[in-house]
Parts: sequence; C-alpha cells; structure tokens
Amino acid sequence: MIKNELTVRQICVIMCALSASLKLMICPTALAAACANGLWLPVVVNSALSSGAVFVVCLLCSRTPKGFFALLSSAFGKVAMRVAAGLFALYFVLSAVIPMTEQQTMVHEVFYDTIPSILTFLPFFLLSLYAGAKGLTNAGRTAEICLPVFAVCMLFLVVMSLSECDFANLLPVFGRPAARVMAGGASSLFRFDEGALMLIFSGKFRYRRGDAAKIAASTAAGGLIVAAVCVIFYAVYGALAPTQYFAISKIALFFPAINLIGRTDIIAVYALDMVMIFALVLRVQAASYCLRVLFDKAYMPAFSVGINAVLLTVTLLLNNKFADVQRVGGAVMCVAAAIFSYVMPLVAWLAHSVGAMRAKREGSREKI
Amino acid sequence: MKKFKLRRFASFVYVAVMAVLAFMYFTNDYGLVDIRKTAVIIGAGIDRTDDNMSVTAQVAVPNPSSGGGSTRYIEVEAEGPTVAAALNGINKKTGFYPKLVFCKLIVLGQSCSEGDILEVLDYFYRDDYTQLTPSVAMCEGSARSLLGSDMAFGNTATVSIERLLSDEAKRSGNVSVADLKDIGLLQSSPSAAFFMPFIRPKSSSAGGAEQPSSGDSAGSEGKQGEGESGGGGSEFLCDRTAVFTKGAFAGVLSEEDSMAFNLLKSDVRHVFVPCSDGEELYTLGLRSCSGSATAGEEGGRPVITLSFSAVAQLADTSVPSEASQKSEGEVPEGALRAGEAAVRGMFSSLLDALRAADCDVLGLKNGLYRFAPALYRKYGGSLLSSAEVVYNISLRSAG
Repeated sequence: MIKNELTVRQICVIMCALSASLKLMICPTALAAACANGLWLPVVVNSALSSGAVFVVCLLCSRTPKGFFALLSSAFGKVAMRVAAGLFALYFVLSAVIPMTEQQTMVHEVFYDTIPSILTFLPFFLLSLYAGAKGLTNAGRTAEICLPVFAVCMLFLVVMSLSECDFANLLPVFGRPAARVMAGGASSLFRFDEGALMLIFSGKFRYRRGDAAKIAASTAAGGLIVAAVCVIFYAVYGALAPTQYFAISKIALFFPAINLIGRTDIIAVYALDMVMIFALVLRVQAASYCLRVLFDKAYMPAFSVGINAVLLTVTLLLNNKFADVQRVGGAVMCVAAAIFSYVMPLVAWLAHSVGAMRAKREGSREKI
Repeated sequence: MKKFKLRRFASFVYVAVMAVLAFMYFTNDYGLVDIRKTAVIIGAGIDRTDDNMSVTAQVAVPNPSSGGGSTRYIEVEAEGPTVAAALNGINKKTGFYPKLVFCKLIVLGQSCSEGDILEVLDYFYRDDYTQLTPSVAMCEGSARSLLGSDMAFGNTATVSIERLLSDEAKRSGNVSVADLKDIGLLQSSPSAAFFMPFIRPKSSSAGGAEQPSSGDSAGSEGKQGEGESGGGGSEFLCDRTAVFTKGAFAGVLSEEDSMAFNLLKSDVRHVFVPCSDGEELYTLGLRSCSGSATAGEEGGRPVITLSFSAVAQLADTSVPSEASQKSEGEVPEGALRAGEAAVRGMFSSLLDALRAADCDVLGLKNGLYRFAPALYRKYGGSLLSSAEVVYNISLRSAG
C-alpha cells in the first residue's frame, strides 16, 4: 500500500537541486586537484551512472507499488528487511559526515573572517533535530521551497562569474591521462549516491507512466549543473583551482562591481548555503525513516535525537581533521556508496523477482 | 475560549529560537569584534632584508567616536623569516587582529627581485582568508618607503596606487595590471612567466619613495582619512612592467615595451600612438583595439604571429589641417602606414626585450600547449629564441 508521502515533482527537485547543492562545496576543488582541467569529465560520468541507478529503481517502482524494504521483507523475510534498514540508516548517517564537515568549514571560512569556535556550528543540530523528527513528507515540501532559492542564487553567481571566465583554461580537453581522470572519478563517486535515496523514496509516491524518465532526467540535470559549475570554476581559477576551497563562494569574486560595493555575491552564497543545509538534513531524515523501519515504531523524535547525537559527537571528534575526513572518509564512503547506490538497486530487483516467484509458488500451492 | 495547546506553543518557540540562532550563526553575530581592537589592512608592502621578510601594512583604523572623526591610516611594520611570521609580528606589536580580507594592494620592494618572488607571495596563496583579488606591483626602492610617502593624489599610498592601477588606466594601455590570481595562473602555465606593474617616482628629485616612512614604528601617527592632501606630495608612475620567469625577476620593460605588451595582452579600449610620416608628426587615437600573440608552424618551422588591428583617428598632428578635413575624420593613408610601422616597431622592441630575458610573458608556449599540444611538444623548449616572427598589423581610418 502506497503512502503518498512524496510527489514526483518533489522527488525531481530533490534529485536535481538538493543533490546538486551538496556537491558544490568541495567537489569542484577535489576534482580539480585530481583531474586538473578534466574535472568536469568525472562529474558527467558519475552523473550518468547515478541517473542510471535512479532509473533502475524507478523502473522497479513502475512494476510494483511496494517500497524497497517491503520488497525485501516479502522476498527474504523480516529479519533481512531489518538488517537492510539498519545498514541503510548507518549509511545515511555516515554519508552525512563528510558534507557536514564541509558545511562547517565552509561557513567558518566564508562567513567568518577569523576562525570561530566549533560551538558556533551547534545551531545546525537544532534544525537537523527538528527536521529529522518530521519524516520524508517534510523533506519533499522543503525541497519545493528550496528550488527557487537554488535556481535564483545559481543564476546570480554564474552571471557574476562569467566576466572572469577564460574557457581556454580547460584546454586541451583530453590532456590529462585517462587513469588520473578515472581515479578522480572513482574518488568522487560517493557524492553521487542518488540511487540510495531513490530506494528510500520507492513506495512513497504514486508512480505514473513516464515518471522514471522524469526523475532520472532530473538527476542528470543536477549532475550537469555541478559539471557547469566545475567548468566555470576552472575557467576562473585555472591551475589555482585546487587551492580554492568552496568553489561556489569564490567564482564570483572577480565581478567588477564587488570591488566597489562589496561582496554582494555573499547574499547568494548565504541563501545557497541554506539549501545545502536542507540537503544535508535530508540525510538525517532518510536515516530516521530507516530506523522507523528497523524498529517498526514511529518514534521519530527519539530517532532524530539519536542520529543527531551521533553526528554531534562525530563533529566534535573530527574538528580540525578536515583533510583526514576527506581522505579516509572519502575512500570508505566510495565503497559504501557503490554498494548502497549501485548494488542495492539490483538487489531490489532481485527481491522483486524472488518475491514474485514466492507469491506464484504459494498461489499454486493453495490451488493444489 | 480556545484551548491553550502547550505542544504547539513549544514547537513554535523551538522553531523561533532555531531561526534566530541560525541567523546569528550564519551572519557571524557570534563573531562580534570590538571595533577599537580591529585593524583592516588595505595595502601591504613587502621587502626582503638580510634573512627576513619585512611587511609594512597600511592599516585603516576605524574610529568609533561620534564626533565626526574619520578613519585613520597608519603604517605598521614588522619583520620575520616569512610573511606570515611578519604579519604575526604586527599582531604582537599592536594588539590588532590584522585582517587581510580587505587588502587590495600588495607592493613588493625592489629587494624582492633578488630571490624567488613566489616565496614572498606564497602566504597569500595559502591563507584561507585572503582572496586572490589584490593587485600586485613592484616598486623602485623599498615598499615600506612607498607606503609611507605623502601622495599628491589620494589620501594614502594604497588609494593613490590603486587609482594608478585602475581599470581605466588598464584600458588606456598605459598600465599592465596583475592581481594575485593572474600571477599564480601565469606562473603555473607552461610559459611560467608573469608580470606586474613597476612603480617608480615621477622624477628622482621628487624623492618621495626614498624618504623614510613616517610610520616606521607601530602605531605611529597616520593620516586623517578624508580629503586629499593637495600639493607637495610625491607623484608616482606605473607605466613600466616588471617581468618574471619561473619566479625569478627577469627585468623591467620600458614604457614603449609595456604599451606594446598591453596592446597584445590587455583589453585596451583607447590608446594614443605617436608616429611620423616624413616631416609630419601624428598622434593617432586607436579604438576597438584587438591584439594577440600566437605561435604556430609554417613550412616546418615555428612561427610567432603578433597581430593587432584598430580603428584610427587623427588625435593631433604637427601640421594644422582645415576644418572640413577634421569634420570628415579621415586619416591620411600615410599616417595609417606610419602608425602601423610605429606599432610594429613597438612589438619588435618588445620581442627583442623578452628574447633577451628569455621570458615568455606573452604566453606563447601556453597557447601552443592549449591549442596545439603536438607543436608544444615539438617546439616548446626553444620557441622564443628560434621562431620566426610575423607581424600582422592593420589600422583603418575611422572616417
């Protein structure tokens, strides 16, 4: 039975705007360090993979109204479902750690001109705590509010940065060794995990004909936005791009009017940062939902408190360990993202097939 | 009567508190700074001493008094083995928190040309709180003296020099402006050469740049902010260009070479070029300028092509012309050819100077690397010295 918690439009917005916003913090800089002027290639490839994973899950939604966990339950039993829910909850909590440390460092570096105390990041957890207790319906509505903010701010920043772009910085297009570009792409794979989110959304919306294409296209569009920002970022900073953290806050710096009237671009960066916060909170909401499936109880406030307590502890422990989080966390999360975003959709199909076969067998037994 | 719902009220209070805290968090209201303990560095000068770096910061000190007091500017100097250490020295000396966020100018003293210039600038590329927007210039003598000079135009040295390096000056082809980003990008390109304007006193008799700084000790008396100190101040010129190869100082281009460089590499809108056709002297005003320096291959040999086109107007001439000729605005053919010869002569002189310094500041290798990687691998090493030069200069009359 479908609980119509999300609409297709909301899912499209989440896949396009919210997902893209989280990739605009460190991803362009990390890719510039790994792939130099070929930084946009891994984004395009990873976006294609991610859109493919989303499409696979959406196709499954066209076949069955059951969600991912319901499919697991009917195919492999409740224990398997609970194990999967627990693992997914863990995955979403872990997947929030890297963007959260990026978010914390970005705010401290962009909005503060001296290094503030870690305590100044704590208000984030108040929002996270509140939204985490609200469930996926809240996430969909929030995404719809975020869309115009995201669109206007991106347009504002891109227009401001165009005057400084030298697209010749991106030449020669395939000048970097393919192995280096592929390694860069693999290291950023964990940022393209829309497949895992889509599994959580399965069974939460009413599928209509063509929705799979719409959602997959939205995911691809989000990826193209990130690729466009990467191109602009490298066109502005060229070989200096790997030293410029938080691309989105730096691309418009050379707009002529900023020298006269001050950093007007920071208004757009500030608004965009709000969207990033909500994109980050979506991970907490997804983890809360998985815990609800695991315990079969709707103790959402308690789940949210637990998840945020873990994230807060992690934040305090990882303070000033930004580089380590990126290096170690990135490596671990790439493996995790590959499993949860790219293997699990296939597991969902397997569960669907097994469940169907089991239902068929049970049906024929009843006839006998 | 409507029943009071505690749960709903608590939710509302929670959301309100959350919104207020989030607003304060993102707008840095937790980071309130005592204005009396804050100093904003608007310009920095760097000199090399024996084993140290000497940093002179021109600091705007906000005056919080309500009696109409204006911002004061002082120069504070400190030394250290690195620029970061010297900046920390300023903090130790004054108790100010030196903020480089608003720094718009970095002046390097001539002593910086003795070593790798990137050692000096390295701090600005590493510091997370410094943007790559400040203009960078080298000056004759010491940067400390320059920043301490009384200026004929503008209330502080930083503001005066910023005016000299303005977009207007850049568009008139008189100044080669470079910021930290330009320098970093050019240095990391295959050409590994960069430039910056070279500031010098207008005449040696002015002597302003060599006078000891009025602000040679911490917190020394500065200048009041408003109004210009008319007359009596020093005047400086930025019409020469310092060029560097692989971080090392390679020389200073003359005014003519600097203008030729700007015609080729900058977005020049309007420039005056003097030329002569026999006995007649002309000054041509060139508009819609478009210049480029590219490298390629012709007949199996490397070729450097210096191209320039513009629309010419006769700005002045040694022979007075009739009013009807002036209104038509047609430039005599002889003047156009003389103008082309003058531009060609400037380009030739520039290329000779760059060849002598082995400095590819025109970015020829970079162009090859981007657009013809095979040719870059073939000719990249000796392009500047071995290539033939082709001039492609075209002036057309505005009338």
